[in-house]
Amino acid sequence: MTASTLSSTARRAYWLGRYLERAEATANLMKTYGTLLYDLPQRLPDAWETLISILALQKPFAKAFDEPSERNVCRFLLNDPANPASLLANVEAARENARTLQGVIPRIGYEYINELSLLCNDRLRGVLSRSRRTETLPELMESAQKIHGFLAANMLRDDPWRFYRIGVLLERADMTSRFMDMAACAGFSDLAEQEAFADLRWRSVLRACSAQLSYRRSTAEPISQATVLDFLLNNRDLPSSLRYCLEEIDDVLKALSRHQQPRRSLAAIRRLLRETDLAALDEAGASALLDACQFELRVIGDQLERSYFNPASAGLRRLSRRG
Amino acid sequence: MAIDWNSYDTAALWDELIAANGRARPGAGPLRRMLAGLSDDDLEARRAAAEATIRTMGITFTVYSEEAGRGIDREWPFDIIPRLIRRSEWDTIAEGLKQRVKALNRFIDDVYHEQRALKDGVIPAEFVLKSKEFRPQCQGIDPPHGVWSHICGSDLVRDSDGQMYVLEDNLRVPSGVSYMLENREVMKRVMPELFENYSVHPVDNYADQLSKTLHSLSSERQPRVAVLTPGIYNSAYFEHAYLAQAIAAHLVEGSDLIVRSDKCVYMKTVDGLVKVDVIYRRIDDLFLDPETFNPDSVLGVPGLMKAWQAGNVALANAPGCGVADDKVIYTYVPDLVRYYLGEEPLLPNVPSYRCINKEELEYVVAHLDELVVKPANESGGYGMLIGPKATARERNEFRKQILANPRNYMAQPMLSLSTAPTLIDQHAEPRHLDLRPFILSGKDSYVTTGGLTRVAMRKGSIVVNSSQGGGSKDTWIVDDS
Repeated sequence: MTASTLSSTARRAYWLGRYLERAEATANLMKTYGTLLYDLPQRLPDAWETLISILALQKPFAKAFDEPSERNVCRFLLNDPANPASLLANVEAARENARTLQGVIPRIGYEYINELSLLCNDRLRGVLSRSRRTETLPELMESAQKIHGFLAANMLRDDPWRFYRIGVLLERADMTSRFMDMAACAGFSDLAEQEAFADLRWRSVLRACSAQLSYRRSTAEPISQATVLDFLLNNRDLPSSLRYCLEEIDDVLKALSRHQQPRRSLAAIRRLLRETDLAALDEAGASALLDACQFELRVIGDQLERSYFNPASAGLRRLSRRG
Repeated sequence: MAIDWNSYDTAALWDELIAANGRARPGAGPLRRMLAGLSDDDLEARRAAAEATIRTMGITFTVYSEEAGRGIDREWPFDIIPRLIRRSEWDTIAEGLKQRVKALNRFIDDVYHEQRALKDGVIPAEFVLKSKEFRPQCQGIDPPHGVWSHICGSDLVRDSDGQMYVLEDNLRVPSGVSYMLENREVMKRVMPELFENYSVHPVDNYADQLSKTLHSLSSERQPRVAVLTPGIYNSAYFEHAYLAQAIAAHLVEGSDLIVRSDKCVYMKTVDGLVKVDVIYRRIDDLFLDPETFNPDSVLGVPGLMKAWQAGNVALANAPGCGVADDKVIYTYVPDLVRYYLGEEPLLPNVPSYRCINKEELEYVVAHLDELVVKPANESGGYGMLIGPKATARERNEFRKQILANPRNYMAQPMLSLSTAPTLIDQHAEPRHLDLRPFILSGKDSYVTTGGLTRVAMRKGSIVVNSSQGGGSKDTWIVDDS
């Protein structure tokens, strides 16, 4: 008997992957961006606001705070109750999904997720100073990585695993593109100054993707916008590159039924990346390309919802044969 | 300084571990010694370890919070000192429980068929037919093996003379068994040395037995089983998720299921619709099917009752089985055992007064300060009067309610529930407790090895419900020698 996977279980496994990955990436983004800002000139007025716009959280942020100060932005992104996409909220959402997945996640994995949640609730209280962030963010990332590692080593490779994996990869692709946004729009108003710090900014993006070493090993080119973009968008072997994530999602989808639509969308993004001349893009052009990628990734998410998760979808009228 | 058994005062009560002379009861000696050997720091470390383990394992129960406007998770309260029951005593109790549940299932089947017991005057027909839990929709239905309540949780209490009584039978959707299993798991992690001196009978075959019971309700060779939960904010959601994974069933909510025109139940999967054969439902009858019962229910599945009536899906427990769960009908259970099985009950009921009988009603309203009065259809300890602890005003209020609707009440003398040593600030104090074993009935029947021991953490309190500040203990069935 093959165990069929409930649509609701598939959806939760997918969101577990997304929330976990987003939590880790948010921590990583704040850590890397903080370090980058210490190296940039003090007078960048909107430096911290950039983080909000990278994550497309301008509206909820404006509701909660007047001023994009370091204190407010960090509070908002880490643990502000007004932010449904805060690090803490992502971890709590991951835990809530995990609770409903006790039949498909090995028990220890569930315990690790509880540990992460307990750790977050313990550490992310009130406003975190720079030194507390420096101490806490790596700790949280480590805890999240432990979960991913355990699940990768132990989960049965059936449908719940596949949806969890798609969630992780789709979120990672999205976050990689946002990390690149970080360099493309770091809040400079003076063009000359922007130029001067270009290398530093793009190196930070590599660091945020844990890809500095990989970059050096894969390419002899000095760091520039075009080379880093190419590396993070098109490299075949880098686990955080868009191409890698998209190809792997495609592989996972092949094992599922009714995969035509999302696979067609994947092919479209890959075509877009292949056909864009990255060397010819200025920063605004790069930003527009990244926006286009993020839009297409959202479309894939919607298609997964329709094909697999939504109980009202047309596909469900088909009867599955008893295995 | 640590646990000093010389200062442990059992008062005039029955203590499960320590006899009135301060010595250990048979079998409890090694436990008493081992606990006495732990320093304050040791005790605190183990208590903290248990708490941390429970938090990490995610063992929670949900209570409604006014402040949050929804259910919030609380960590399961657990006391590290186990409660012991000797094997020889347990075997008798287990037999008594099987006998009781067998009679109760015969009774429910009878109620929805010939109603012999009603016609023969064993139990007044109006009690049964006017019960809130009587469901006319169940008449004439033949669930497999004639069993209606497949999973029953009966509450046992011990009085000061050492006698075990059945306090009530929870035949609808009893919960707690997952905590019984998890308590053992926690115990092994935080007090591993204890197991060196004891051969404790394992509890973890429950999942296999539950699975076997549910499978026996379908003619499919490998039936598809689902656990139907009201969802993540239900107080017992932890248990629903726990049991579903333990028996490799799908954990579903009403929206995951659909009944088609063939009157079969299907679940919505990523591969399409897949037929479900057995549903272990953890939703009350009235929310099961908006077409038959509460039309506003969004928890249930439209058409589920039709599918069940047609025999296309088994429901455990069957709808309508709550008719035997009524606290007034409880008072007739010993008669039902005699009537259906021709046997004497092995386990006694707590002596009870039926307010429907005039003399008994008069006695009850005149002695409210000595009695515990329970409404017929409440659970979780709600809506009852604990006479000796109530104020005169509360008793007056209750007297009016009883006189207005005597059918709805029964009363029992206030038992002196037994106690067991419980860790309070690094020393042991007696606390009252009860025991909820679980009885499975399908093709065969099975009783858990022990059950869930619930303990009232407040001194002198007899309210053991976790929603009202109760705790729990691991329950050990140990060999006599």
